This record gives sequence, structure tokens and C-alpha cells, in this order.
Amino acid sequence: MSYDDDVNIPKEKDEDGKLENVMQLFPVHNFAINQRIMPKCMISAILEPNGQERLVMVSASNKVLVKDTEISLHIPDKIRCIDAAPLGTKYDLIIIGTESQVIVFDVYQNTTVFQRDIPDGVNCFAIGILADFKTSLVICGGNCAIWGFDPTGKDVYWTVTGDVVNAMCLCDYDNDGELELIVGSPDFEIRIFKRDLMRTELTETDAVIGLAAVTNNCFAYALSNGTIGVYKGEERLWRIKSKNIATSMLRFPSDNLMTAIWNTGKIDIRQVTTGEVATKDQPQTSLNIVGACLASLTDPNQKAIVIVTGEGKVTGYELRESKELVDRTPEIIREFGQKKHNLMMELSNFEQEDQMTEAEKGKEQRIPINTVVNSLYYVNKDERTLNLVLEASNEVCIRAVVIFAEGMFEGESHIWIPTKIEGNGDKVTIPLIPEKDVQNDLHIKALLGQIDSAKLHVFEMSRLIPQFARFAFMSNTEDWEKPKPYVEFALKQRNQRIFDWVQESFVIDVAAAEFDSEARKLEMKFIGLASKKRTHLGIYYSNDDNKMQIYHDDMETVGTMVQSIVAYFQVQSLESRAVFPAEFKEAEDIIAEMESMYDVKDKLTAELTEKQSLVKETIVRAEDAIHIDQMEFARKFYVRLKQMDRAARQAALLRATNQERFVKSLRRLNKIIEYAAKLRAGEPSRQIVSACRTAISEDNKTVIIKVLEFGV
Amino acid sequence: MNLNYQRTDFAQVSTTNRGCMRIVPGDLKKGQLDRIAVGGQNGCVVCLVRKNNDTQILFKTQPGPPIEALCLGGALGTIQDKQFWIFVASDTNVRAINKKGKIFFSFDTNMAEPARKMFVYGVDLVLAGQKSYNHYHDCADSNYILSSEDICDVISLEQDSAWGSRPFTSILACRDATLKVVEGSTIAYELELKEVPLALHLFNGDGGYMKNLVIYGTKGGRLGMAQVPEKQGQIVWEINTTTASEVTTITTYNLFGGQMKDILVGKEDGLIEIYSPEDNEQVTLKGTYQCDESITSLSCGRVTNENDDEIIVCTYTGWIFSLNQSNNASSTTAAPQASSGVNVKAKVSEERKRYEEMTKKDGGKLAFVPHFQVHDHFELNPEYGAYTLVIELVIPIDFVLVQSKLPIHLMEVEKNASVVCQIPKSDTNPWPLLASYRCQANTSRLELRVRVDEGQHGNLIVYVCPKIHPKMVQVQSYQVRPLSAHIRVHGIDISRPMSTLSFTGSFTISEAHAWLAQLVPGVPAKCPPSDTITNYFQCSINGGTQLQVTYTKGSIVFKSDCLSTISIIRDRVGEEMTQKQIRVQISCDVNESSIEHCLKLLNPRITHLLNLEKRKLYATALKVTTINICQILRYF
Repeated sequence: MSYDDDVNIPKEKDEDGKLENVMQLFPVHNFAINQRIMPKCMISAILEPNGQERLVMVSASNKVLVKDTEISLHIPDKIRCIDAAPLGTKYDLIIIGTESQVIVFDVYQNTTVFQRDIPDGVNCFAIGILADFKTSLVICGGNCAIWGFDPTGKDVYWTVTGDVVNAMCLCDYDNDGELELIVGSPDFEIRIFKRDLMRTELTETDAVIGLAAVTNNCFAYALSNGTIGVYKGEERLWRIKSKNIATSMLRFPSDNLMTAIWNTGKIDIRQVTTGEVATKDQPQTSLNIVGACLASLTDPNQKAIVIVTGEGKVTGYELRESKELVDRTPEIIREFGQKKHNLMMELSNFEQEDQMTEAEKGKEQRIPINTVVNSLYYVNKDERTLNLVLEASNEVCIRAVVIFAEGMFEGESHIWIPTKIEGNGDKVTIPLIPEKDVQNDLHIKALLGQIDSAKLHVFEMSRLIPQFARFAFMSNTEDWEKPKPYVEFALKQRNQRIFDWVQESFVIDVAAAEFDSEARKLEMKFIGLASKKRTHLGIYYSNDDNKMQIYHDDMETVGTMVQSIVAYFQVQSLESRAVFPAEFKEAEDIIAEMESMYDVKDKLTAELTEKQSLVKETIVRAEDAIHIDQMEFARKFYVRLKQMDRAARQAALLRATNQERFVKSLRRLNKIIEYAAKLRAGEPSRQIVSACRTAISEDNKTVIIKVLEFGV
Repeated sequence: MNLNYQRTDFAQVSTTNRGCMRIVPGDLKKGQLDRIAVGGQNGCVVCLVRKNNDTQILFKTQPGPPIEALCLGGALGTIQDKQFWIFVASDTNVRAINKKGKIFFSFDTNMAEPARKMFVYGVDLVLAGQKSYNHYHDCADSNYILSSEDICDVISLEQDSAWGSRPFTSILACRDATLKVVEGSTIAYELELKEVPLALHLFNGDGGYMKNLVIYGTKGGRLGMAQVPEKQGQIVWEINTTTASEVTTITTYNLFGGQMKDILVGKEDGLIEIYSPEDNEQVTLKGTYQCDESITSLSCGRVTNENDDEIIVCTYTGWIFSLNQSNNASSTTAAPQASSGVNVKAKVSEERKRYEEMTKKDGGKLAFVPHFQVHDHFELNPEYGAYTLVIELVIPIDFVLVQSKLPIHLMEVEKNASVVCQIPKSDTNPWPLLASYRCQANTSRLELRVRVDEGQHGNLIVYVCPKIHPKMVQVQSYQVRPLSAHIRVHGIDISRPMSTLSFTGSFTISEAHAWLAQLVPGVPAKCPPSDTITNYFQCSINGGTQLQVTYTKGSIVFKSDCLSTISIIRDRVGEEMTQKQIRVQISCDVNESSIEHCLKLLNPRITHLLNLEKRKLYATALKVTTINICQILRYF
């Protein structure tokens, strides 16, 4: 090693270092609206022909405000989201989603264009021309259901989805020239709908809270654990995780770059393809950003990123070329220097050993160099759990294990450190408790070393956890019971292929018998593990009539299995017969109840309004009485007011509880329809949804159950 | 307040100790620029010059024991022009190096412990170890003091003819939150501070007009100035700086052309702050710069060209960089420069190849885990009532695991950008605290904040995994004492109702000291050489209850106005006694009125919090009402 090597001198000029005109974010406006602003409730819109662009916001007092004007709309229902778009007009209409309806309002004409009831409320909007529709649709995401209205307010689109719709966007993800609907839900799923047919499900690691198209065929997503990322087609281009949560993502400033706005007020502009930060701006103190949009409030040709805090402080940023030439060289040099420094440290690690004396080496607590760590899955049949077993060779003690796996545990990691090391401590059993049917990568880091050593080796390994890790294949199972509910469908595959699928998707017990690839009839028995404890699963396949049957109690899980089979064997279209009496009965009950629930709802709402107006009236009377010095009356009125107020509160509470129950039932019904759809694939699956929709609107109860069971 | 400074990296040397980098003034007559001298923990002293926008090594000494301190010195009177020597202290040895890199003077002191801090003034050399203070005049022993407390920094006043008979005076910054003024071989007096002073510097570089002003920086990030004339000193001013992180280094230099030199402060959290002294005995903050690595030294000079003042910064990881006002910088950095980064790249790939060969060679029987340096500290931060744990490596951190058997509460630190995952205690997890911190790319410094309840004791164990091959983890352990929230103070209010707990028996004073060290933080490891010792503590969380401890051979007496403190002590010391099988008599005198007194102490804080909560509710309600007032009026 040469003399100068441990002084690391960066060279001043690098080839890659260029003087660049770097884009920077400049604050352009900064004002306060003396209102608290609701999350997801700020947009910018041009509200009259040739008008100026204005900010539209919803205040905490449930009013729609238009900045710089006196306009303020009062909506009786709680507003959940707003949007704006021209629907056959030359200017933008305001679209308001509340907990029970969607309202399209024309500010210029001061009229309501249309108003439609959405019983389970609207959480988010997507506006645009979906698939082969001729006009723009207002697509409303609700509770497990999605509704689409054309500019006249006609209900032209309806489908169901697996969970509450948190976020939606339109994006041509398959590059076929038509826009697809992308839907994000709290159940970690991003679902892509081609018209009303669900094309694919992308499983993420936490609840999806934001979606935005960032180029014609890429979309960005945001999760509640602070992750953002970009998908191109079904392939994830990149993702990053931060401590903060993304409030909004914008398709700005170009097709190569996108903007992410975080809840702390940080704004970063990233490369769409790599996620690399092009420029960013971070406020000195953390803010509470509730909304962000693009607007040109001052200069019509210049778009600004406008962000708003919960307290109503609005800041706009424009992207401009930095006035000064910014020399990136020092940064690049630093990076190089850092890299080199890290390598140097690495190098010195190896030299350390050479420099040590024999006595020092003796004191070191070392482990044999050929030590390996094996990992395997082990099914505990008594406890019905799946265990990850790590075993170190040479009797080396495993001091700790860290497993990083997104979406597998409550947080992103699981740590195992024993309180007391037993024996050699070279074998570790860690119970795994998967909550979902998702394939996952476990990044395992085992820390090995002597019991009292302060320096430990890290053994890194990666294990795939199969999609249905909650089921273990067993060959001899005494207490296995065949579940009653099942699904049956036609499938023509060789036994071996089916075994391949089972092997890839399930946990195979070590003691399980070999598969017999020549059998005419296959009978595969699985026991449920962890959260599926005490459930059973049977998969039957007959080569005689090419039919597969899956017996299991949970309709949702069976649906996921059918989807897994469809994907594995690349089946385009699949019809099936489903027998899930419990769920079907539930659906029947809900439909039967529906009619009366609508009635009750209307009745309760009317009652509430009546009581509220009585309260208002009484206030006026009481005040009047004071004015004309009739204290006796005033007192009487105030006593009455108290009673009325109590009555009104009670009515409101009653209505709220009823509404909650109603929404819950609706959601459950939508879910059952979705499960049934998932037991099929392709066109039959889509048909079930639309057949159910027609049946519900026609109040044709008997048909629904038939459709759910036999398909269309 | 961010001044627009531009960072230019000069070099990276090995890790550095605090105060081991100085600017060596160049000979202006010969047109020389200032140079940078830095001593690393690998024992090398490196002298760097800037030429044509490139860093060159003027000289570099052979590695050896870590350099603990680096000072400039020379014969008095010649200092201003040319005759400069670089003094470095390592272990018990002091060497002087001339401008050409030749060691022309080596002095083996007879110190019993390695030198930690050094101050050179003319032919006077002051060395401080952990506990001892040594003054050498012309290499001859002149003065010596053994301090009862750990010494954090040392500085000497300039000898002035106007002093008259005042002996050679030094100021020691001590762990018991005092500035000890040493005249000759005696401690003349002590100045009591609120926090432990860590760094000292002479005001204006020479002590000001009276040559007796000293600036100090504390553990809690406070900056102050003390006047230390003969007999009795005083604190002139003390201010909070922008963050509550440790002050690691202070220097003075005239940056803004004022009458007095400006004060530059370097912090443990990587913040550099610049203050300007005003006439009315105050300072104003002129600017800050954040560099994200803990700073070990600051020095100012004209290194790049003869017209611009620069701030030279040295960090723990050994980065040496300059900060200059950007308007000047653009001209210098944009200047065409032939040498390219290709060299670096080539070097990097060369190192890679070398490394690969190394791994192949490694065929020994036992695997070797290299040691990496962990620069850490675990300190109580009274402002948050919580402990701050800082871990800094010279390489990026991959992840950190935190584990404890104590129910420690992790608090959010805004600066810490890593992804936290805490695993709650359950059937599968026996640990009340178990969490992982996965760091963002290129993070080499991690700051955690933890809150511990008093009464429990144990260890906080941290597994640190850096991003380096071979992959390894180092386990660090931090002791949490039962009275973890107590801090040492100089005195207490004796009028409070006190309960007394005393232990008498056959034990030595050092045993008693050891028990105390087990109970409260901030007690020196070694027992001070005294017959009877009294220490005072104050609790930083429960409204400020107090504790007085007096111990001597065969007796230790605790007095506190808080009964829970007394009971915690009884439990812990009792446990210790049983373990060591020492027979003692325990007597406890409970003062009933202390309970009411304690509750009264707590009352203002709780009332304040309750009021705050209530006012917050009112504020929201009022705000909504004001907004809706027009709507309400519409009814009438």
C-alpha cells in the first residue's frame, strides 16, 4: 500500500461534472385562507368561460369555497372529496362527492347539473374517457363499488371491487389506446379494470392511499407506510420508502419527471423511470399538508404546484431554471470521495487481520470460516403454525435474527432475540403468521457469534414465502374433515402441472408423501395454519371429466386460489359452479332487507330535517320573546329548545347508526358479488357483476343467487 | 439564518479527535497561502495546501498512537509572522513539527495517564489528562493538579505584564459542570455552570481587552462567556444556541469585519453557528450551516486565495472542507482545471480488484470480523426529559436494532429519516423494547431519543450493522441507571422537607462511591481522594425534586424530598448489599410532609398541560364559530 493512500483527496474537476442550469422550485405565492381545509379537498378550476383559474376548497365547516370570490356552496351532507372538469362545457364544473351522493354543480350558471344518490358515499373521483365510452365519465369510488355517470347524469358504469376505494386514476397501462381504471384499496391491492372487467391485481405492502397517472402508460402509487413507486404495465419500475406519507403525486413537469408532495411539505421531482430525485424543496419546519394541485393562478402559461396546509395556508411553487449556474462538481466529487472512502474502509478491514499479533488473534472470539446457516419451513402440526427454522453449522450460536419483509408483519421487520440462549443456540425456530394470501420475499439476516462476543457475523439469505402459506399439504391427516362449500370448474391439465402449481403455491410438509402423477383421480388435503387454524382445504381433480373442485369454507380464499390457477395455467376464460350456502344466504338476506332499509333511511332523514327546522324556529321565537320583553315566554321557549335539541340529536344519532348499518350491508353484498366474480375468470366473471347489478336494480332476488351459483 | 456558504471538499483523512485541526498561517511576504494541519486517530499529522484548486500534501508523518490534541506554538513575539511549530500530543508524548514536516522536538512527559487536551502558549505547555493538569515551562514541570472530576477541556490565559503577581493561570472545564480556575498549582476558585462545559476558547483569541474572558460551550448546546480575573470570576452572558446538541469546538476569527473577532461554534449534530460579539456584552447569531456529520474542529484562514476568508471544517469521519461565500466560490470552482476525476475512478476500481483478491486469499480456519469504530454517546437531555443516543460510523449504516428488557419508549426525532419498525411485546417477543431502524442510503449518523421511567435499571442494547463487506454487526450496550433522570447540580434547597435514608456498616468509601455510580448518571468512575464527599442531584422530570448524598468510610446518607427516590435507592442498594453479602444497618426517616411537597412540585406542570389542552379545544371551537358567524347571523 502506497504512502498516500489513506489520505483520500478528491480531484476537483470530474468529467461528469458539468455546469448545469438546474431546475429549482421557487415560491411564487403565499397566502392564508382563514379556514381549516379538509384533506383531499383542494383543486383548481376555471369556473366561467374564458375565466381565470381559481382554487376551490372545502372548509372544515363543510362549505365549498372559491378563492377570491364570494361564492360558497353549502352542502347538507358531509363532503368527502371534490374535483372539477368540463363535462360538455367550455369551463369546469365542480364535482362534489359526499357521504351519500354525487353533485355536479355549474358555478357560472349557478345550477346543479345533476345530483345522484350513492348510498355508500363517494371517497374519490376519476374523470375522463374510460375504455370505449364516447364521453367523459364521472367515476365515483365508494365502498367496494364503483359508479360511473355520463355528463347528463346517466348511470352508465358499475362494478364491484374487493375493498373500499381509496384512490383512483385513469391510465392506459397496457398501451392499447384506451384508458383503464386503476383502483387502490386499503387491502394492499391495486386493481386494474378494463371497462368493468378486472384485468389484474397488484399486491402492495400496505394500504394504497394515492394513485396518479404520470405518463400515458405509467402510474404512480402511494402507500400509508410512506412508500411511493411507479408501475409501468404490471412491472414496478421503482419504489422508495420514507418516514413521511405522500399527500399527492402530480403529472408534472413533463413525461420524464413526476412530482411527489409529502405531508411534511417536502416536494420532490423525480425521474419517472428511475425514481431519482431531480430537484426538491423542503420547508424549514414540518407542515401539515392536506392537499396539492397544479394551477396557473397568476400567469396562464406557467403552472405552479400549489400546496395547502390543514390550517389554510397556501403556497405555490414554480419550477424555474436557477438563475445562477449551479456547479454540480463538488457534489459529484463528494460522492466519489465517499465511495472511495467506503472501499478504503473495506480494504483496511482485511489489513486489520494482518496487523494483529497472534496473542490478539487468540483473544478474538471467532467462528469457523466454513459456517453456514440453513433455513427451512417446518409445519408444527399440533400448534398448526408455520415455523421458519434456521440452523447454523459448527454449533455456532445464532444471537439474533432480523427478517425484513414488507407486508408480512405488522411493520416492515420481525426481530428475534432470545432472552436466554439454550444449549449451543445454533437452532432457531421463528413462527410465521401470514395474514394474507400473498407471495412474499423474506430477507433474513442471521447474526452469528460466540455467546458473549460483541462482534457478530451477518449471514444474509432470502426465502420465498408461497402465496398460500396458510395451508400445508399433508398426506396422512386423521383429523382432516372435508368442508362442505366448494367450487367446481373445468380444467384440462396433466397431473404433474397441477403438482407444480401446488408446490409453488403451498407449504409442503416434509413428511408429505410423493405425488402420484399417474393417478386418475387426485385428492389433495391441506390443513390450515396460523390465522386459518382449524380450517381445512381439499383440492380434487379428476382426469376422467377434467374437473377440479376446491373445498374450503372461505369464499374469498377460494377465489384467490382460482385466480392463482388462472394465472398459472394462463386460462383466458373460466366458468364455474360455486356452492357457498352461507355467503349466498347472507346475500339473499341483505337484498331482502334492502328495500325496507331505503325506506327507513328516507323516513329517518325526513324526521331529522323536521326536528332541525323546529330547533331553528324555536331559537327565533325565543329571541323574539326577549326582544319584546316577554321573559316568561322566553324561558318557556328555551326549555323547549333544550328538549328539541335533544330530540334532534337523537334523530341524528339514529340516522347515523342506520346509515352505518346500511353501508355495511351494502359493502358486504358488493364483496360477495366480487368473490363470486373471482371464482370465474374473463368474460364470465364480468358478466356476473353486470347480471347482479341488473338484478339488484330490477329487484329480482331469485336471479341473484342463481347467478352467484351457476354464473350467467 | 442560513448564510449562503458553499462547501468545497479538500480531503479526507482518518477519523479525528476534537480539536485536532488548525490553520497554519502561511508566510504572506512570500505569497504563501494558509495551510491546514490535521492529526488523525491513526497518528498521522498531515499538512495540506491548496494550489490551483487542488489539494496537495505538504507533508505527512508516520502513523502511531492517535493524535489527541494539536496546537500551534512558537517563541513569543514571533508568532505573528513566521516561526510556527505544530505541537501534537499523543499518549504521554508531545512532539513539535516544523513547517517542513520535520519533528525537531519530542518531549516525553512523565504523566501517569495519556494526555487528552493541550494548550501551548510560548514556552508554556499545558497538558490535561482525564484527571490531571500539568504545566510545563520550557519542558520543566511547573505546576500539577489532580482534579477530582474529569477534565473536558483546558485553556490558559495569556501572560500579560500588567498582571503583576498573578501566577500562570489556566481554566479547566470539568465534568461536574464547573470551570475551575487554576492559578499556579492551586484551584483559586470555581465557577458553577448549569451544564457540563465541553469546549473552551479565549474570547477574541486572546481573552479580550482584560485578557481574562473565556468562551465556553456546554453539553446541552449552550454558549457562554466567563470573566476570570483574580479572586472571583463571573459569567458575563450565557445563551441557548439553535440546537441542544453538544458543542464540540469553538474558534474565533474576524469574518465580518467587526471590532471583535466573530465566534464560530461547531456542534456534535453537524451544525456550525457563527456569532458576532456586540458592544453591550452580547452576541448575535449571524448564520448557521448544517453538514450532517459531527464536527471535531473549526478554523479560519485564507487557504484558497489570499482575498477570501474561509471556514475550514474537520469532521469526525475525517472530512476536511472549506465553507466560503458562494459569490466568490463560483469563480474559483468554475475555473478550468485539467486534472479529472478519472484518476479517482481508476483508483476505485483498483481498490475493488485488490479487495476481491484479498477475499480469495482469506483461507484461514477462523473467520475474521474486522472492528469498526462506533462513535457514540448516550446522554440525558433535560429539555426533553429523555436520553439521546447518537451513533456515528465512518461508513454508511445499513440497519440498527434496539433491544432492552426495560419498557423504554422510543420518541420521534425529526432529523432521523430512517424507517422505524417497533415490535410490540407479545407471546413471540419477550422484549418490551425491540425495534429496527433501516437507514436511508448514505446515512452514517443516527440519532435516537428514548424515554426511561425512573426506578428500573438495565441495559439498552444496540446492534449496529454497517453497509460493508464482510457483513458484520457490532453490539453496543448502554447502561440505564435506576435514577436515570437525575442530573448533578451544585447545591440544593435545604429548606425542603427531606426524608433521610442511611446505611452504616463496614464498607469503604470507594465501595460507597461505586454504589452511587450504580444509582445515578454523571458520577466519575474513580472515587475522589477525600474523606467525606457530598454530591447534589436534581431530577429533571418530576418537577425538580432533589437528592443529597453524603458518604464517608462506613456510612452513606441519602436525603431527598421525594419518597420514590428514597425507595428506589433502598431497593437498589439493598440488592447490591445482598449480592455482595455486606452487612449494613439501614435507617430510614420518612418525612410525611414531603409527599404533599412533591405533589405541589408536580402541580404547576400538570396544570399547565391541562390548561394547554383546554385552550387548544377552546381555540378550535372559537375559530369555527368565527368562521361560521355569518351563517349564524343569517338566521335572524
